[in-house]
Amino acid sequence: MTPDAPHPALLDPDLLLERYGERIYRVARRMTNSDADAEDVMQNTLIKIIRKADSYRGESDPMGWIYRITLNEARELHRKRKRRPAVSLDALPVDFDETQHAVGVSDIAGRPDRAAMAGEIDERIRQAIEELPDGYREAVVLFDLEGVPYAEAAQLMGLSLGGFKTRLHRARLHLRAVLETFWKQHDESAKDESAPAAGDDA
Amino acid sequence: MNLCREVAEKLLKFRDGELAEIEEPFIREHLQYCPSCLDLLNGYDEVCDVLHRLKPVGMPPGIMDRCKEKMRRVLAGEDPLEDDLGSCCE
Ligand SMILES: [Zn+2]
Repeated sequence: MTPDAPHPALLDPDLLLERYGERIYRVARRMTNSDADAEDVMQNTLIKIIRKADSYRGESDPMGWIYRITLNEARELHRKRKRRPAVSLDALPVDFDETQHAVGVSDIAGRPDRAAMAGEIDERIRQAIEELPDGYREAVVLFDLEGVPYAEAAQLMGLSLGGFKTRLHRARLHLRAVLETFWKQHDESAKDESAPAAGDDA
Repeated sequence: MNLCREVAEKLLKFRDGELAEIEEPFIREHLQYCPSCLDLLNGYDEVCDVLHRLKPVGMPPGIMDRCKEKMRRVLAGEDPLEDDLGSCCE
């Protein structure tokens, strides 16, 4: 393969699917948290790849280019579905009082019941990732879930390293708050279940 | 000045060992006497753990064949391209 020739795996549908199909689906599923939407994103991504293969003149492994197309297709699907992010992360997702002291933070680490709740936690986190604004969701999916190194992830999102880390950081802080709410609700419903059925101590 | 906001802003750099040498002792000291920030740091670590062990959802059966068929139809010109294809990348 020369730098002037299109990458062979991008021209052959069978080879493309064999080499990159699973990764494309995995990213699409993580971006959308839906089997059907992930399949739509995957199909649109594959079609775009084979149609644009001639124009790819990159390094030997086109995975970065493929990631970028997949993320764009996921964005496009969110836009078409008119999905609005459930949160804005323009500000740091931590509450401070008037003296700038952090407030309302509770201890969610090392809970003895976390293994038993792992399935529910995972699903809540998958849902919360899908609800993040585009750039924040992409940062988490690329770095925390796909293991793409900082510099590479920032580059393929078209961000400076600092800009990328700011997004990743705020997204993680938001997910921490989601976990905190999860445990609060869990503890409250457990309390309700163990409370006597009758009795009003007001 | 209260350091909570600074801690909240710098947890990623702190965990990655990227803080400037003069900043790190302030953060460490603050974490010793501020339970809120310690909970914040531990909760942040917890989220990173959850993310790192979050398994991908498996592929639905038949998806590879459906994708292959879709690509074949598009390449053969049997499937009209959707409007938005070819517009957003690069
Ligand atoms: Zn503090």
